[in-house]
Amino acid sequence: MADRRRVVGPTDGTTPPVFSPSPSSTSLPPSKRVCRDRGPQDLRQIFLKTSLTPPAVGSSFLELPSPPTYSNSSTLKLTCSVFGPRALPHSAPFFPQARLSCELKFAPFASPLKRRGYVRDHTERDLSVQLATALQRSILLEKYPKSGIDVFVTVLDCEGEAGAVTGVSSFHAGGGKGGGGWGGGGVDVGLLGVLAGAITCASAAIADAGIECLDLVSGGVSALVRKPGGGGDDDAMGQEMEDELVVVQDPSPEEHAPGDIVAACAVGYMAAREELTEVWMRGVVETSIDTEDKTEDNLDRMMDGAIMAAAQARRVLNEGVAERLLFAMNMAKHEMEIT
Amino acid sequence: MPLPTSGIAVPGQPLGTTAEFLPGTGIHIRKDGQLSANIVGRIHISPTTTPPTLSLLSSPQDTTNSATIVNPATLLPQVGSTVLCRVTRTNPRQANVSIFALDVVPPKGTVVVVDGAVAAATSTSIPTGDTFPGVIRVQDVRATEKDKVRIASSFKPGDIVRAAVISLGDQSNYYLSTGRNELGVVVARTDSGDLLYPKSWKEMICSRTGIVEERKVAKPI
Repeated sequence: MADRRRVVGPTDGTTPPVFSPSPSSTSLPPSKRVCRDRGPQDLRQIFLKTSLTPPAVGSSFLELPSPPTYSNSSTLKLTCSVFGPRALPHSAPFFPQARLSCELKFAPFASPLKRRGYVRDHTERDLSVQLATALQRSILLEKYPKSGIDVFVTVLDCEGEAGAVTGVSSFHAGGGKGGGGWGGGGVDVGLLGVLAGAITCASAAIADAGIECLDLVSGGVSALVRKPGGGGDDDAMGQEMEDELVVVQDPSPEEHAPGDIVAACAVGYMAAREELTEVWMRGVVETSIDTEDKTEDNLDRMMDGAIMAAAQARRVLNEGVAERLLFAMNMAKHEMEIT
Repeated sequence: MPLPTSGIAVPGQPLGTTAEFLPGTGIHIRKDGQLSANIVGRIHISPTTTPPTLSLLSSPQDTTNSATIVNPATLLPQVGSTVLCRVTRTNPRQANVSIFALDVVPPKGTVVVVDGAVAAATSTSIPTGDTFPGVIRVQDVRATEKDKVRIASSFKPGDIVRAAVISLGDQSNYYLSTGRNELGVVVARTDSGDLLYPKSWKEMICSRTGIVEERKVAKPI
């Protein structure tokens, strides 16, 4: 009888598998890098579909277009399942509203560079908390007393360093505040993209579950990017540097050279109410509170860019959540015609 | 935001003002008096009231008379609602139950619609997506002679009980009451597994063996 307590290897030995070395997106030559061929205000197309996970009360799937195969880069793929409102565990204290719990998890194969563990790491915990903050305000929690609403987001594929275990520690905002010297580092926008996608995806799943909410929340990302060919001058001083920074909506970490992205921002935005539920900013950005003309302020420009990106994503979200009902209505109409 | 086509509203969408419409199901009123959608649903305007009632219906089918749409997955027990539950265990002070279905009573002239299909024109029990823990305390078993009630002669584990929710209760249990004639045990079996039939308001009888067991019996419909 076989030894059931331990894994026994084959008796005749095996050849260890040899894999080709992992391609690193940052080490790619510039020619191999994907070029951003859309305007700074153009978003990538978003694929959003609801009700794809049968056991869940509500579910959704979000995907961005795949990059060309030569680039070795990846894209963003997310699924979200919503369960509830359901009874809370026995140990939970009485609460007159629903409790929202959000869990964002990277699949072990999510990152193109490194395989992830099953245990929740600090990046996932951080993103889960931010996702919960973004959704909390939108749901009518008081309609569901003494119950729990559970939101699970699984990242199947993600871009840039977001998938690598380094996660948050990959934050290297280069340069000082004193103007000039933006050289070095740069911000990885992969995680911000994951958060914005997760917000949109989760909001679609919540609407799909039929849970009553004030508004849908859509996520948007924008980044301050050094204009190609402009930045990097050693003698350029702060005032001139500002002119060289452009706001790019929906940035992809694959499309920009490392260090080009100076700062980035992700927002959760309720477009119908014109309310922000979540703001996450990374990198170093100069702002002047006393500036009269707000259009000149980099921080404001970047935030406005993220809000505009979220407002555009909202249009996809609107279509996505209405699609199932529209389909069912057409089917009902079709059946009526047959009979 | 522009109104979408084909009369489907999505959460957050402005649908009119309080001066134009009364809010129906799936609608909330914003601070500025704007009616907004809560759910994804078909826009339905009922002209029977003045101003007309605006509601959102999540069922795809066009029902001629107005419908009470029920989404079993988001159904929760509320104070006053009637539920069906199974007794899980008893002790001299209370009977623990698990709630598995809720009675939905549609307003007069409407029908209940579950998952897009018309379920019933009158009160109907809808199974919930998940069970909820509840408790029937000894003082809530019946309305009179509460001091003489014994749990052991009212419920046995496994009985199916119709009860009313009197409180959302403590951290885990909903508090239920069977203190009305139509509330109490509706399905019960003997130890040998034979069905018991109501004999009196406090006794049930087995048709095969003739055994009489004590229960708080619900008035048969």
